[in-house]
Amino acid sequence: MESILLGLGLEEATAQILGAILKALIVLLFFVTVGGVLTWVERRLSGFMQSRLGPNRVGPQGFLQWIADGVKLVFKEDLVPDGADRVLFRLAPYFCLIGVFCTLVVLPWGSGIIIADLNVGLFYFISITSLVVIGVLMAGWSSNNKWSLLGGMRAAAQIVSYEIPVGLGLLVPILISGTLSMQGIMASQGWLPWDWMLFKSPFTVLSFFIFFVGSLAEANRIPFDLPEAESELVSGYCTEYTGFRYAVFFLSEWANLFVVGALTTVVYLGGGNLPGMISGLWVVSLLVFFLKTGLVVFLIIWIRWTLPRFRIDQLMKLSWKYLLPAAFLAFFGQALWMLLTWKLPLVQLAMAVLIFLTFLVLLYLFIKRVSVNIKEQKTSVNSPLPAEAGK
Amino acid sequence: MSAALKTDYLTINMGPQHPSTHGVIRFIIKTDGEIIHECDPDIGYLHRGIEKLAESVSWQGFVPFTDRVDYVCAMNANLSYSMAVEKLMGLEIPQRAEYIRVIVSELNRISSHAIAIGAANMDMGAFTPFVHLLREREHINDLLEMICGARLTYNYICIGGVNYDLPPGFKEKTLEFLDHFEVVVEQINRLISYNQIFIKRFANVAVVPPEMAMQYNLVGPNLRGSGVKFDVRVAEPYSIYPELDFDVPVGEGYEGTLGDCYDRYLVRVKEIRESIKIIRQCLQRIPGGEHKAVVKNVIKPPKGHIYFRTETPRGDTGYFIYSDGKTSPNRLKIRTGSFTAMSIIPEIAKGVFIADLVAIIGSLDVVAPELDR
Amino acid sequence: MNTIGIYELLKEKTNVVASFQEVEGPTPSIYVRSDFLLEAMRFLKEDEELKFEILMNQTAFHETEDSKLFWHLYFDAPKDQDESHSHEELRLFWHLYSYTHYHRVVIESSIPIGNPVIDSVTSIWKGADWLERETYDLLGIQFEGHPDLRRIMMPEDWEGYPLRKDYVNPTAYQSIDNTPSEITRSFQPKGK
Repeated sequence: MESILLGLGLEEATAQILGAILKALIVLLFFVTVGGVLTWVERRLSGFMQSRLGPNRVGPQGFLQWIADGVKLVFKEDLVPDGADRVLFRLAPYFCLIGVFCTLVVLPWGSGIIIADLNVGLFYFISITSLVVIGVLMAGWSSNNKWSLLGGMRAAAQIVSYEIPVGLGLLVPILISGTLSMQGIMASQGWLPWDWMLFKSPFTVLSFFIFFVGSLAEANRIPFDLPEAESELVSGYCTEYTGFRYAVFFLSEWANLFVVGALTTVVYLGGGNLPGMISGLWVVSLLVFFLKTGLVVFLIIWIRWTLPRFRIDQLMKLSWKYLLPAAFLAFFGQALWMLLTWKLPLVQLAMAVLIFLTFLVLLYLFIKRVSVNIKEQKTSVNSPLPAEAGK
Repeated sequence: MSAALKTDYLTINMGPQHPSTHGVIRFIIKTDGEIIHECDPDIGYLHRGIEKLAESVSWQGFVPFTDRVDYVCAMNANLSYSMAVEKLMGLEIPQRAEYIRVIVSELNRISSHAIAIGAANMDMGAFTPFVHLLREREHINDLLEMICGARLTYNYICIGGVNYDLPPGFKEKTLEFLDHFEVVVEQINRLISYNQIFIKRFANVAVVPPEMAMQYNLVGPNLRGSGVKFDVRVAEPYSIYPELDFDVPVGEGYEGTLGDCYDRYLVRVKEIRESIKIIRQCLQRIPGGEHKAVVKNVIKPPKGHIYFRTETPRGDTGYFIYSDGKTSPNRLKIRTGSFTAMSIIPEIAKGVFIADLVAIIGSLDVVAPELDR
Repeated sequence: MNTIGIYELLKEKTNVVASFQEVEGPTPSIYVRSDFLLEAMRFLKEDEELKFEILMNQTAFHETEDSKLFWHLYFDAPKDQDESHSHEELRLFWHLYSYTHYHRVVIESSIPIGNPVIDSVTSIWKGADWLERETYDLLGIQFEGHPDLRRIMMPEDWEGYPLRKDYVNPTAYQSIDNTPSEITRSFQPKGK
């Protein structure tokens, strides 16, 4: 970006500043678009899963629905409830927004495409997402609503608890790649599935599982959507929000969905790595990245529309009693595994291929089962009446 | 430290407008953080004075009101009231009408249980099973629309029989639906009923031992969930139920303690299967003939009182009618399943989580209009 | 066991003042004088041969002079010997059921409308709690010994008991006007 600006004949300092502003703008626009589009994707997908239509009126297949919703929300009155802490109430959504927004800085979209390749990228990522807790807690506290307060407290307890297993789970990829830089982690993997972090050893599979579950909890998705459990807490921390501020909450939630998908892709699924011969094509790399992210996001949406919700004590139990010990196990196990196979790259490769093949077999069995279910479902129920059929 | 910090219970108002109270019910709950210390249900937001209205409408004219008592299973409410009046009058009704009545009320039982199961799932955060079950309910509504032209409040069963005969093609359509629905029930079970998270949420929550269930007079699936094998259709047989072959499923502590939320839930699932069985038998045996006995336009049942109950999806609905030989009831009282189910909540919702209260309401299958009448 | 058998057992084992009501209607019942109610109920629940664990239903109605059905049958109710007694009264019904023996019985009683007080059976069946609250709310019967006798259906500041026959619809509630409209009044029978 800077080089283009320099080429236009600008001074270096100006080019740096202008470049930074331009990048931020691009990311912001991307963030808004991705959040919006994902709301549409989720609604259409859930419609498909629930044998209904979902939004399909605005634009082709209802694609522009998110813009219509956004416009509607922006024009709504911005209410502040009586007795609320006005400053905190108005401030809270932006904490959520910033917490998610800042993560995009270190996301590598493809090999070499990154805004800032910090050498503590992953660490930065984990710490900046903590800002979301503060936003949610502020929203819950300042709303002067008991349901909101409960929602905020639940969110704080939940997100803080799940950050620990997630952080520990992420240590396994760091152990393998030997770096905290996002580009470095991506580069340590290859384009073939058994070169991905996920399949490298049994412990990376465990670490992936911990990370994925923990990320669902941090993103407040079902089965961990307790902070806004609509059947218990009405709408949790955002009960009292209207209009634009409500939109900001929702935007950050869906953008967070994308961020979780992207991080999973980069750390575990090989990111935008390409085969050696076409490694220079950054467009293809970007496409690969988005495809993988899309798959992960689809998986998260699928889980959301399938599973029920945990109870708060079960949620805490899962984090502290199961995920945390499992994360330790994954970390030490991986360390041991690396020491044992330090000199034996072939064993490592064989193990990776074996895990990948197991995965394929499981996938095949799953698809077979699903196809049987779909076939059973197709028992006809709306055949015409005998009298009508004769006409 | 503890002397300086004064702790107090948090009093929260759950309802009257709350997503999981299944209508307009209000719970005043005192919580210690997430744990409920005291729960006081406040009902009456849907009190429409149906019992008072009954005193000024004719005997037949009250049938549409029974639809509104419990709109989720209006056919069963029609049946309860009509049979109570017939018993009072000593009226014999044609055999065909009895069969039609059983078919429609069992169809309505399926649709009501589908709603109950779906709503319980939705309260637990699983939205998809609810929508799938609503889709199946649409098919039942289609069938009932074929019969009587209405989809929610039917006014189909009347004093002396049923208002219209079965339309042509109804039998085939119903059998086709049952074939389809049997599969769907199993799919819903695989999707949600056997889901571990769901079981964890429902099992061992709000245990109602059989003695407590009897003390509070829980009825229907809630009672059977506590392990008491009692069904009005079997114990005090009415209509053609003695001729039919079906089981009475009871709770056995499937995934935990006997009488927990999961038992009550699973009893409903099993009852759907029994209802399918009953409808199949009825469709096979249904005789020809008249669908309605000859009943005068203005009826005056003899003086006397009766308490008649039938098995509806929410337990047995009892109609107490006191007639003084005039053209409208002198007193009519409806004892509904939701009412007794609701009265047990203060007792079992102690020391549970807020999320459990939602599970309790879902598993007891409370319907607000039936509660308040 | 049928109602007559239960009645004979009740008469034999306790000294409750009761009478058997056999009428042309479908349901026979046992009339128990109101001051013996608790004793009779406790016996019905605890006797091994009866075992009425369930209070299916509890209700009452306001009996006016013209709806009087068989008041002449209450031969041992002392108030009936009093000629000056107004025959307006509240009649209460309890429908009991036994899951042990699968039999049912109807117990009835009556109390004067001027002094509508009767014993509560909540100490015997907990399920009576809400049923009695409802009866209190709609008919104004005071249940002595009830732990929490509040209105249940109607708002707490409602006046009057809607299911009594002499109840007049209020024309306003909390300054909300409820006077019947011109059209409504045109449907009402003359003289009301």
